Amino acid sequence: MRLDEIAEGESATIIALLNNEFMLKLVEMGFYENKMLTVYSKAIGQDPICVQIGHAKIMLRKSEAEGIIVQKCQSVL
Amino acid sequence: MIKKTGKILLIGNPNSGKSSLFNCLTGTYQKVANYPGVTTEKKSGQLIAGDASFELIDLPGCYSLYPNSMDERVVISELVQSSCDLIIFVADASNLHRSLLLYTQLADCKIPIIMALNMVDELTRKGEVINYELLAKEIDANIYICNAKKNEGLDALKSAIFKENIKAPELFFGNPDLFRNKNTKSYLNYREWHRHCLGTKPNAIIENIKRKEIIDRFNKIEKIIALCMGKTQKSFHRKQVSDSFDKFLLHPIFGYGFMLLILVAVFQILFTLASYPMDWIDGFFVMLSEKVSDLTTQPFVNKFMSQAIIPGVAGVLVFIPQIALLFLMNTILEESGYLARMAFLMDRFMRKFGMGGKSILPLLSGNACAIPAIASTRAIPTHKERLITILSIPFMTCSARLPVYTLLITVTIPSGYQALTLLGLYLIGLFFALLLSYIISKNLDTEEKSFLIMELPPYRFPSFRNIYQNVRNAVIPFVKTAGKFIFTISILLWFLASYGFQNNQLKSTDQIEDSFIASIGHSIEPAIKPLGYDWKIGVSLFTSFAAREVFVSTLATLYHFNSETDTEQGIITKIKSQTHSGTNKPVFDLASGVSLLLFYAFALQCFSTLAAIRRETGTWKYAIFSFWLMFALAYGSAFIAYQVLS
Repeated sequence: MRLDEIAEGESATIIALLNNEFMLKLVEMGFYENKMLTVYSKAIGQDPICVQIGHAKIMLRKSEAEGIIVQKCQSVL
Repeated sequence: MIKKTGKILLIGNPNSGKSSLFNCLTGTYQKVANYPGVTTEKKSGQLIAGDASFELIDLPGCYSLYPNSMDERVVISELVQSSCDLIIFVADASNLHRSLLLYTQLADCKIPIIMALNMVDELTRKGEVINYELLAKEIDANIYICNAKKNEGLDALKSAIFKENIKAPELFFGNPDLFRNKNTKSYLNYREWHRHCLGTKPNAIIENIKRKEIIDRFNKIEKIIALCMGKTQKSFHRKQVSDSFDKFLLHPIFGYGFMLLILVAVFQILFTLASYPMDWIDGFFVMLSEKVSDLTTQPFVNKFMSQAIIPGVAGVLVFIPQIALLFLMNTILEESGYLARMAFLMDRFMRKFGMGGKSILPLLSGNACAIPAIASTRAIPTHKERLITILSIPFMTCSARLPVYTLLITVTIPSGYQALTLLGLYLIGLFFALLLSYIISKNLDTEEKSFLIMELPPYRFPSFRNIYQNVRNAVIPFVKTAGKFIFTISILLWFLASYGFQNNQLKSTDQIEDSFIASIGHSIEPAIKPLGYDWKIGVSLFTSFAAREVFVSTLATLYHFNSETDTEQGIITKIKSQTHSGTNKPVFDLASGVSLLLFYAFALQCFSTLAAIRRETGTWKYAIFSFWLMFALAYGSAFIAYQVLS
């Protein structure tokens, strides 16, 4: 499933990143395969979303989250 | 004579405390905030000890050496296109994982490097600890723990810079095959690889190499972190508090309600709290004027001081409390981390107007001053979003408009509606900024994809030193810049208002109607009469094209000549009592007041802003477009307002 489909408070592991314009930026912010994350907050209309990855909280748009393929896992927060 | 010994680059992730460290090391006052992307251009300072001096360059923050925006490009250009003797790498201990990505890239450029490990206190509060010796060994680093906010660890860092013979670290990344030139079969060293990337249009092959390199580095870094970091005790309290704040402040409904409440509170404070020190300053200058009017036996000097210099200077200094309060509140919002939360809440809304969450900081900074706000658009990654934001910023209500608004609102708007009127003027500016953005975004085609991808900073208590520095950085240039114009224009105006031609001879006059200024004013009167202004307001409008604040001092100087109770009234009371000769109707009534307020809400009377637009867009085309568009809006809205209300 895609990251934007994960509900607020749920955790997931990144499986793959789709090859798009944001891929490199996402990778340098810590989004890469096998990394765990938690959806921290979602703004009005579920866009943008804020994700906790490691110690950092990263905001990203729904369109950017659509390029991150994840698998749900137990909450890490 | 100090011998110059070299150049040092200050590099680190955004919001890792580089500018705070820069200020501590060089004794300067660069702007600092709790928001990624505050430094958008390189700033230079001197680091001196004994007979040695280094040029220290503070560079914008970046996450890796692969730039995504103009400000990040500044870092890599400086690194590969010029030489430097040392890098001070500012690492955020509370987010070491990501700091080490950039550190290891810099280390592989084979430049001597010192790591200033900042924000260890935040890491401790999270209940985590670093084995520094092991970390230093694993990454071959010279690590110095410091806290720029509290001035801790800086002496050791300074002596390391000056005394030690620092060597470049060992290569960290062990996969040179990635950077092999397929045509020449030779290997590029890491610096040459970045030079190659900088001069080559991105393509799939290069992007894949970059991606592979970053992931390889992260995998290696994770192993080091697992080895060097541990937990002391579980410390969830701070995280729980921070999460509770975010639950409320980022809430899809309450979050927006709170944001509105904050904005209303800011304007209420600006108008009510500032009025007390403003009254004290006004009273002081009235008293000074009284004293000076009898100071010497030279009536010329007395008149010049009490009628030209003192009212002119008072007209600007009286607004310092408001400027200081505006910057104080801006700094608190930035330092606390709330501004980044506003970017999160507003991103979706801003996208409808061709901008994004990253446009929030430049737009809100435009409420303080358009010039740094325009420069801060460099953190916006796409050209289209950046251009739209640049052209929208002049509509935001900058601090130079504040003295004009305050004077006109106090004089012409009924007391119960004054704070609301001020809020309304800010909203009008915002509305037209968004309207222009919308129109441009619908007419400007681009293939670039816009993105947000931005870090939400932790909540921090605003530092008193940073607040002081930011307020000081605002007030001193305000006094200097406005003061320069005011002093020159006050002298010129006083001469033009005190002298005139009588029987073809230059003569001093006590009647302002016989003076040069009256002739000039009357010549522009036909153009401004439909807006409800007399010739004196016309002259003030004309002089304020040098700088908006000059409007207040010009009015103060011109109306001083008419007042029979010269030294017994403050500037505001004096201007309020002016009437049109013949009709006895007040010069400043609701109609002319609203007309003037709208004129100032739109007119782009700031040469520095025009120059900033030219500098950031690379052409005069957009500066000229902005000037005439805003002038047309100013004249049109002022005309309609006066005709309807009168």
